[in-house]
Amino acid sequence: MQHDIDAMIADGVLSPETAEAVRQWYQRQQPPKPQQGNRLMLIFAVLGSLMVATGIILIFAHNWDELSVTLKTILAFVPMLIGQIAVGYTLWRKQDMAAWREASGGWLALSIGACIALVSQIYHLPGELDTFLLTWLVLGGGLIYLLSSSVVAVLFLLGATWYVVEAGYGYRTEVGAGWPYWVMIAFLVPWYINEVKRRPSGFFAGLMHFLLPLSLLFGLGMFAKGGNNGLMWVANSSLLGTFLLLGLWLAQKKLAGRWNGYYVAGLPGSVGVLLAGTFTDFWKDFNRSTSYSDLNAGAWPGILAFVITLAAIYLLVNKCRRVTPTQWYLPAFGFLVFALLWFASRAFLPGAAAFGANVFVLLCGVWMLWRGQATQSFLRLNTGLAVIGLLAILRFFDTELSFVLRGVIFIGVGLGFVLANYQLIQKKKSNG
Amino acid sequence: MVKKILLPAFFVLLIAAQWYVPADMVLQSSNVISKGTLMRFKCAPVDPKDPFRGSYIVLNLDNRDFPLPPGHDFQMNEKVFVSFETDSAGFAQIKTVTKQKPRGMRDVLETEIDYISKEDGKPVATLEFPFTRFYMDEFKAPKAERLYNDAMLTDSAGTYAIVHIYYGKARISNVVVKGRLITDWMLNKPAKITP
Repeated sequence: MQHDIDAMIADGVLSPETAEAVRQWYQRQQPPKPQQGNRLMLIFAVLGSLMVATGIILIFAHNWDELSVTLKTILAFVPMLIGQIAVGYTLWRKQDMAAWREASGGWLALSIGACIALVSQIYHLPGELDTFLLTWLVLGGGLIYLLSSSVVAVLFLLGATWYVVEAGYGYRTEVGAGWPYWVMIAFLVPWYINEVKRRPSGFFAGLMHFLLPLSLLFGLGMFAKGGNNGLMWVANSSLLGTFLLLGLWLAQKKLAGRWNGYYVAGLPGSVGVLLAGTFTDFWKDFNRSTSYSDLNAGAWPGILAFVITLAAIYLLVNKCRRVTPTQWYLPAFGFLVFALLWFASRAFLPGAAAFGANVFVLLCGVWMLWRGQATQSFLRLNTGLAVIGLLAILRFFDTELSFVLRGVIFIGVGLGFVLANYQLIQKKKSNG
Repeated sequence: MVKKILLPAFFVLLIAAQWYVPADMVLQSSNVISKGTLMRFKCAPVDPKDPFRGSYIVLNLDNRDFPLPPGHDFQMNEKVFVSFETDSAGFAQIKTVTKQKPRGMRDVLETEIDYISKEDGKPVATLEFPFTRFYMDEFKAPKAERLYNDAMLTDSAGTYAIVHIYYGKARISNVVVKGRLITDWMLNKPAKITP
């Protein structure tokens, strides 16, 4: 380019002043080299710092037993002190820089746990993991709002989930042990809602859309006390139905994009629970005498099943009210069908409940297939086919049909896969 | 304006809480070790891991059982106060177990009943002792466990935990194996007079 400009000046096409203006314009289009260099420096600086820090830790670890208790105690506090200084500096001078907020917040959050763990180790303190996790979460949780830190929020949710499993599961724990988990979720929700409003397509909002539903499923499990309680199944099914309806709402409001964890958990979860209900033995288990774990769970399963189902019905009615019946989302009714089948299994034969589940799952598969065709979506079409195919496979194991008949059914489903996809491809081609 | 005051105030409160909890742990433990009554408890080892605190020796203490009177009203997980006496070999033995806080609390341990069982038809309470773990370097813990197991077979009288008890709280400061501190064994230090 420089050669061409010189040639144009020599031929009188460009004046020297114009040529200089052209050179400067090209220079402005290039990415600033010093910034690229700074980024590389930052990466190497971080790597170098991590290596140095790791080396220091290893040297201390090797000589740990020879250090006095006082020195060990001081060293235990150092990472936390560094984190607190970093957070203080961030709040004072770098509050607008996300990298500073996230890095300092993440460091301090982790170093709080390290400090408590090291002090416990130095003084051989007793204590269970759930108490340690709870203390750590309480001391670090405030950083979420102080720094508006997404990294700390994600770590907090993971920690809270771990806590509820440690504190709430197990046959020797009290009913309701692990209840602080729900307080922690309530504490996190305002940040979450704000993050979704501020950056609906952001990475952390999307990550929370996946992590929070999973965490809530674990949280609900603390009320089961390990028993196979029918009402806990109803509660779980209704929770999955709630997730599905929330996922549909988020998609409608364009608040989730591809990161719609509620939909991803809710749809397969709702259908999956009903697929489990297609077996007669599944309903028979709920009608035998209650186990110790069921008795230990007390009234919680009933209360939860009632409250969550009510909440899900409210969301379902709201969704259905706004559209015509032909636009209703059939799998969203799954939780309601499951709850009704549970009652049916208690009142009638478990076989009737299983039959009902089979009919509904088949209808869901056909509905998804039809919707896939109507919206020309391969994903929806094949999801419907997969549901029908899975139902056929499950019936393979517990029916007394002849091998010939089972073979015919499988061939039918397989041909259905091929023909439905072929038809959709042709339809898309003809529509351009 | 409000944010300019609230944010620093919240930061200061948070920092204060983050220092208070571990500092309180350190101060309480130091207090118990420096002012508490030193007692020796017999034990037996295993070598498990704690995900955050590292490897430790489990000190299955020998003398956790206490016979209960017939018609007692003690229950599992109930809080109790335990006083000790020293036997002829110099090891701590449970003297009394009460539900109410005794007047002289200095050498008394506050703990819970782990479970209640029957021996020869008589009720026996097994107590939870909060000094059942001695944390060690994870590479040294297996060696310590082997040393310990060997000692339990050959010299159980010279193998015990050193525990300090002070107004309801207890802290373990070391473990003695064959008359020598286990930390000295691991560092190959010469034997010295042990408590």
